[in-house]
Amino acid sequence: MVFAAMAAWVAVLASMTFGSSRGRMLKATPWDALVDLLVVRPRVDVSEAALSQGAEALPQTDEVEARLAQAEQRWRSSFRRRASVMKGALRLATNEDLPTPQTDGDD
Amino acid sequence: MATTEAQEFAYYKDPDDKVRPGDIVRLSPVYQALRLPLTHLGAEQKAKGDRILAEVLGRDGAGTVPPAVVNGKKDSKFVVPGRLDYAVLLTRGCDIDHGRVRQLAAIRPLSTVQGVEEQEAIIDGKHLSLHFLPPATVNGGQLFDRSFVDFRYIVTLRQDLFDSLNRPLALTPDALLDLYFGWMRHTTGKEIPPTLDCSECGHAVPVFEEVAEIAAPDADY
Repeated sequence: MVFAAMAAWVAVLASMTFGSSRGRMLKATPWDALVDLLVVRPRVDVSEAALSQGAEALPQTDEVEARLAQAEQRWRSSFRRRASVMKGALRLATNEDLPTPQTDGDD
Repeated sequence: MATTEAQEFAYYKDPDDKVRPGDIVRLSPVYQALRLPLTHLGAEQKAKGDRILAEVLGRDGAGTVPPAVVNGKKDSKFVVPGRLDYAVLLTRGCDIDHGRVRQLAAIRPLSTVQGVEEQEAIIDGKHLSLHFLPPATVNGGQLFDRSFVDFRYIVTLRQDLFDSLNRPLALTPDALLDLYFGWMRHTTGKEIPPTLDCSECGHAVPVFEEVAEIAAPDADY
């Protein structure tokens, strides 16, 4: 199911880029450029060693708490949007009439 | 009643009687990465007082690993570092109903990550292997503070061991989808940005709203 959903997710992106009426305005976007837009490059040190040290070393001051609370509020605000996207992908994954990417010119 | 800090924000719920994906368990074995030298346990032997002894194999000063094990012809038992900690069930419904094994992902406290910038980066979803979890309470007491699911550390348990674990909390259906979405980001290395610039008119296209219109939310998960 997860892989089917993943396929649907790709189909959603492809559809938005090349096929759907709303996404048609994006069809001129080169696929490689789109993929490049989607890549997030890790920059956090979350090695086992760092995690084990952090468990003992990091004080949670009021300033730190305020910053994390702000970040958490941003996260909460975006949660509903993310859930909607995933529901759409799952629905498409269980629908035989998946949108077909159109990559061969104008439709 | 399981709640988050903000009542209106439903990320957790009480677990159902039936095991479901997104169930959070206590004291699950969570493994660390194996490193050299790979250490095995030899055959078990009964000793005095009905104790069971097994020889450590493969390390300096320890016994030799049998050739059949080294050549992949025979099963072995590995010595794996780990701890008992919170974990979340990834296995989906059909495999729960018919399969004998369950896959869980480790849950770690956000405070174990050094530096507030790094912690913010995890909350903001800038590390694809780590999926943020908000604080959770059960019956008015905090179960865990801000945490994250660490997709790099997945453990497989047999059903009997999983069923012996306490399930104090579960993810709501939306939160479960969020978790799976995070897992896909981890496996594919891609994410959907909130907006894309239209190549023709230059206006920002709200990706999430556009996709949400494609299909109405399905209540069943």
